Amino acid sequence: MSVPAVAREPAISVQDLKKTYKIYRKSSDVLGELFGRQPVVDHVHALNGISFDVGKGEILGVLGRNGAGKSTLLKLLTGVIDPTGGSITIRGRISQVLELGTGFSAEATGRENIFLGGLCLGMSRAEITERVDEIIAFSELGEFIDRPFRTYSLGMQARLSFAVAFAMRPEVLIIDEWLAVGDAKFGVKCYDRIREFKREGTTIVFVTHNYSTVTEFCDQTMIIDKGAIHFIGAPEEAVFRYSQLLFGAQAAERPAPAAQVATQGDSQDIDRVLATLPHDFSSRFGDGQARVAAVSVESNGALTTVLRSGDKFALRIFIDVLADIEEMIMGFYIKDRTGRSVVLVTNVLFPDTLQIKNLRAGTRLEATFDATVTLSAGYFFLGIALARPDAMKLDQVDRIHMIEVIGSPQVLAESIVNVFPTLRINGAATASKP
Amino acid sequence: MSGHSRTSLHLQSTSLFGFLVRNRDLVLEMARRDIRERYADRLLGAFWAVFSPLFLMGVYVVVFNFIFRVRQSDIAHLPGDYTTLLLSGLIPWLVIQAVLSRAVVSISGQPSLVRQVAFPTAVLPIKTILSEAPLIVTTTLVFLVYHLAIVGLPHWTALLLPVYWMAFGLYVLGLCLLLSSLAVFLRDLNEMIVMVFSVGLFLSPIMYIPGATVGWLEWVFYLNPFSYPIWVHRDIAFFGSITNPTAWVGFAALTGLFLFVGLSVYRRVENRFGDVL
Repeated sequence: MSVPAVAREPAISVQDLKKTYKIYRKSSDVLGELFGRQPVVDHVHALNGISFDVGKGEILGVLGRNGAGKSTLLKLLTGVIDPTGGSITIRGRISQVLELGTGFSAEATGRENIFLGGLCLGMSRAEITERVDEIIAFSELGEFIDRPFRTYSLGMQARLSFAVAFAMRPEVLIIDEWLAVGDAKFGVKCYDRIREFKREGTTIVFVTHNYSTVTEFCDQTMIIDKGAIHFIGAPEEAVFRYSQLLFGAQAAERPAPAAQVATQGDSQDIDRVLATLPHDFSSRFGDGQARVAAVSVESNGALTTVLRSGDKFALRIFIDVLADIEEMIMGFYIKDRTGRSVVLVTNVLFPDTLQIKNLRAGTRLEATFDATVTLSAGYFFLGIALARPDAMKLDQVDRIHMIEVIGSPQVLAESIVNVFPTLRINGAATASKP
Repeated sequence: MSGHSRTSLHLQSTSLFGFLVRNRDLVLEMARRDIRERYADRLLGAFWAVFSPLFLMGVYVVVFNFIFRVRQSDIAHLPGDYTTLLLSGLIPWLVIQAVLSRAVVSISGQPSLVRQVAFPTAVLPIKTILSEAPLIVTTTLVFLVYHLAIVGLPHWTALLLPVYWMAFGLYVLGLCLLLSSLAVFLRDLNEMIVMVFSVGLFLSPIMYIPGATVGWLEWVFYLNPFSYPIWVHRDIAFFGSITNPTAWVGFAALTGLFLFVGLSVYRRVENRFGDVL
């Protein structure tokens, strides 16, 4: 992962980079200032002196909430805006994909836009002519390439934009949110191209909200928060830090063992769960004699809806019993983005030990499932169902949490179901340990 | 391999000539696109390219030939009829108006290009000049055809018209850079330009007969920077000789002045576009 520091000059060196935006009352005040007048301005500090290096051929992922300073950083790197202080050194030809279809004309055909967009991105006409077939092939637009750009679907527009941007041969590539586009199949192609870039020694900086991209592609990941570097280092670590940043700081700071002690039936606990994890009760049905009050998801000692493939997690369901109930069946299910159930678990799968019987009105029940994340990277939805043995629903909450599963090096992205096997090899001594 | 090293992006860090050479493909392609979008992709296609300037010229010709009639004795000493006199002044005026009114919004109207990509912004005002090539060609052809049909063979100096338009391109280039960059910060500049153009027609030497205007108007003409390219065009297309040497000197001097001021201002403010757009 880490590049040995053998006299290798970093492709990107950022030293104490600062950017302060001045908020002018009128845009003409900028002009006044340029020609020597002192206008009244407010200052917004977008970046407060950040420093980092990106080695040649490395990929740096940038995570951060809205307004954290990510976009400012990208614009500074590409030279769209000038820094207020500090320095940026970039060694090599730089190119960028900051916006889809920049420079494209709606009326022009796809083919014409390849030239227009390519020129806007800094390619020469000769370069584009040389690669136009390759670009069209990559975009998969086929005969649509000679139709006006405005007739394209959003996916097609995105495909063409990326095809043009990827046709460049930059040494440093800056990408903003590139995963937000196209269908899954095209996404895979984009990934492949990124890998190819990396093999060719291209240095890449990209901003993304997709955790699994960070863990799969980045050598380093940086979290920007409030204009400063919150964390920079290994991607896996960064993802957890980032989820903690997003879903409540107290969960992160809380020491893990103490938490386990405190979990047993503490009513403050449910408040904390509700405050930390965003619950969605909008899709629920049932007669309401028992109700799901909260659901906590805990992994690696923190409340989180971001789970990593292969990690253990605990799912705790808080149930308010509102009527006397003879027997209740309880379970959870996980659906993928298309709505298909990929996991379905109930307590009757443990017939001997876990029957839930003779519930009294006005009591609260806590049920905890301990399990392993067998899913590969992606977005999933957690649902909870409570029912009577005759299948009459007491309460069902569909999509109470959105779960994001991030990949791990042990799990291939294409492997939907993972069994975490052990492996023995007999015969030829092929196994080796690093 | 080309690509934007930072030096090719800003007018600031390169000469105008170097900038034009490096970004020539982009300028040409954007101008071509502009033209196609305005004419070829329209319902009536290239019809507009021919029709709209013709219509305008027709209106002026009708108004000044038939409504505000000119006494025949006033123009008897001139080498052409009133219509050719009018058109020879009107053509550069129409082109100035078209180029500048589009140039003003050329940068402020493209915020995504300016904000999102390291893009050589000066390409935008520069290409608006080339985008008016169809207007120049059609109006000039109409003038020459009319001249041939009504007055007779145009002067040999008409062969110099391509050279004139190249010089004209330099003349408006400085103005385009100046107006387009200032308009990013001065949002009302566009409205001001529209106002200037609506009265400018009457304060320029276009519909008046040379030597037959009131004295104070002559002064206005000399103060009006647009008069100079109009006079020069009229010398070339209508008189066939240099009748107004001051205009030629003024045309050259203004070209230099506008380029100097336009470039200085542009270089000073171009880094700040991203802060405002």
